[in-house]
Amino acid sequence: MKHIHPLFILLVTGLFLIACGVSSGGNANPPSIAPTTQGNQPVDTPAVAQSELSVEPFLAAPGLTTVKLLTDIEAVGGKPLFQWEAIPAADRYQLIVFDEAGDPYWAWEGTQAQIYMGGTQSQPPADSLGPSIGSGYTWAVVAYGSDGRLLAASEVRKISP
Amino acid sequence: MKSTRSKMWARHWLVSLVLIAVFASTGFAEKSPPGFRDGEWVANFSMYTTSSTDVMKMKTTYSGQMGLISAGGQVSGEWILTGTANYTGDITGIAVFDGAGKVSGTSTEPLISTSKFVAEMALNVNGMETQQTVDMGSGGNMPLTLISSTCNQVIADIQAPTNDAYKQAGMTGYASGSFVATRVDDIFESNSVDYQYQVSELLDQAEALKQKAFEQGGIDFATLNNLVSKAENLQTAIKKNTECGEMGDKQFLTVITKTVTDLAYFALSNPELFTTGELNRLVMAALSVGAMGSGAANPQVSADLLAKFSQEFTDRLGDAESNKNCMEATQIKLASLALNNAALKQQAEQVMTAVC
Repeated sequence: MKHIHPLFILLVTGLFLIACGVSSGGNANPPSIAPTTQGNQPVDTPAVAQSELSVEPFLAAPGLTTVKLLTDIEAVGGKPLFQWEAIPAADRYQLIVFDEAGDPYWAWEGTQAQIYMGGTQSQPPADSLGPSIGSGYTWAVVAYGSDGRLLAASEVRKISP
Repeated sequence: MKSTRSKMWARHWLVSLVLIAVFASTGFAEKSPPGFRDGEWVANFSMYTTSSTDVMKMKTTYSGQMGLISAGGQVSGEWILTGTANYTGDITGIAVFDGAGKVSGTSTEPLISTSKFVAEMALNVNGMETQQTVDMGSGGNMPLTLISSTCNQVIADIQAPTNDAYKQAGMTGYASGSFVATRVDDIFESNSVDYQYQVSELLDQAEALKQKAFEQGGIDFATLNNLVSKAENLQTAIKKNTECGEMGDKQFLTVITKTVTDLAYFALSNPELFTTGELNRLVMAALSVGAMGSGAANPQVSADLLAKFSQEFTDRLGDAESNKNCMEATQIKLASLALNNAALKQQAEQVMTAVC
């Protein structure tokens, strides 16, 4: 059997780790409000705790608190369940899904803190009509009070099937 | 009195001709005409008409179904409808309509003919009760104007041609309606029986909401969201089909896409009736049903709505700045994000910096 130099193994391992984007402090490709496809192709990364992602609010304004998104970023299927932590004073929520080019694709308004892609409360058949998530899509949520005032906004989060 | 009754029948005859002309088209052209792909299709339509003379006002609701086969670029089928009219004014009472006919022509420009249109009328004319059955006769081939289609859904415009017919007949009248068709083979088998009933009910409810909006100058958003939810649930009864290649995998329609489009145009034509927050809600509704956005089956309508909404929100920024209204400016910034309008976003942020 051919001998493999230990340094070579270390080199290959190091290159592998760099390619996977694991670092001790920084974060890869923080989501932006209007994502583009210019050089920002999705990178295969190991599962990263959602709290580790740096976030930029979808809507920054005085007095707005944060809506915490709960749905995974990838491997969620074409019609995932969008979930977020409820805001106590919220009367309703609006959710917007943007496609890979950052264009608005689908939206929803309702009183629950979760909704399936396409607007149903139960899992729709994967092969049914209606909108579906594509690779490189993003989504965000805003919350309103009963007087119509904006209360909170989430980050813009990537999502892929 | 006789003269009044004669006038009434004449007006009713004209209304009937207009009704038959429900399926007529003044023939505006689309760049890429939508059409019925090969297969069996079922359709529902709902219409609301108002017309008035110097002696009466008539409000009529119609509900109908159509079945057709599309093969090799040609369609053939049949339609039926029922309707109820309420008369107010010097002439009062009700009328019940029963109509039927056939569908023929090409899959992109179907032709509608009427074989039967009968009205059972119970009216009070100057204190005299009268009941009569009037057979309005039949009509020749008239085109059905298709607006958008996917491989297994088609929506059509049945109000514009009716309104044009009112004008041509010299009548004061208005028609509003929706038409949606679904390809039968793509309805999940377990849902097929109930599907048509639910579509019919939803179209009628959507039309009623639209009429209430037009008459009262405002939109009941709680009801609108409920109807959007029903339309979205109905989507799960249909299999996705992109075999025809007409649209990509992204595009979608719902049963009430046309209704929401009409509401959006109504609001944009009467912006003074709506707050910025309400316009935001309409943007969301339009995105929900594929009337606007990158999932819209009709890119021209989508682009037009996007442009008009963007302009309206831009126009409101000036007032937000003058009134130092931070929440208004924030709402407009939210709209800019929803519309992916970078210029509007920048302007909104400048105003927010100034007033928040």
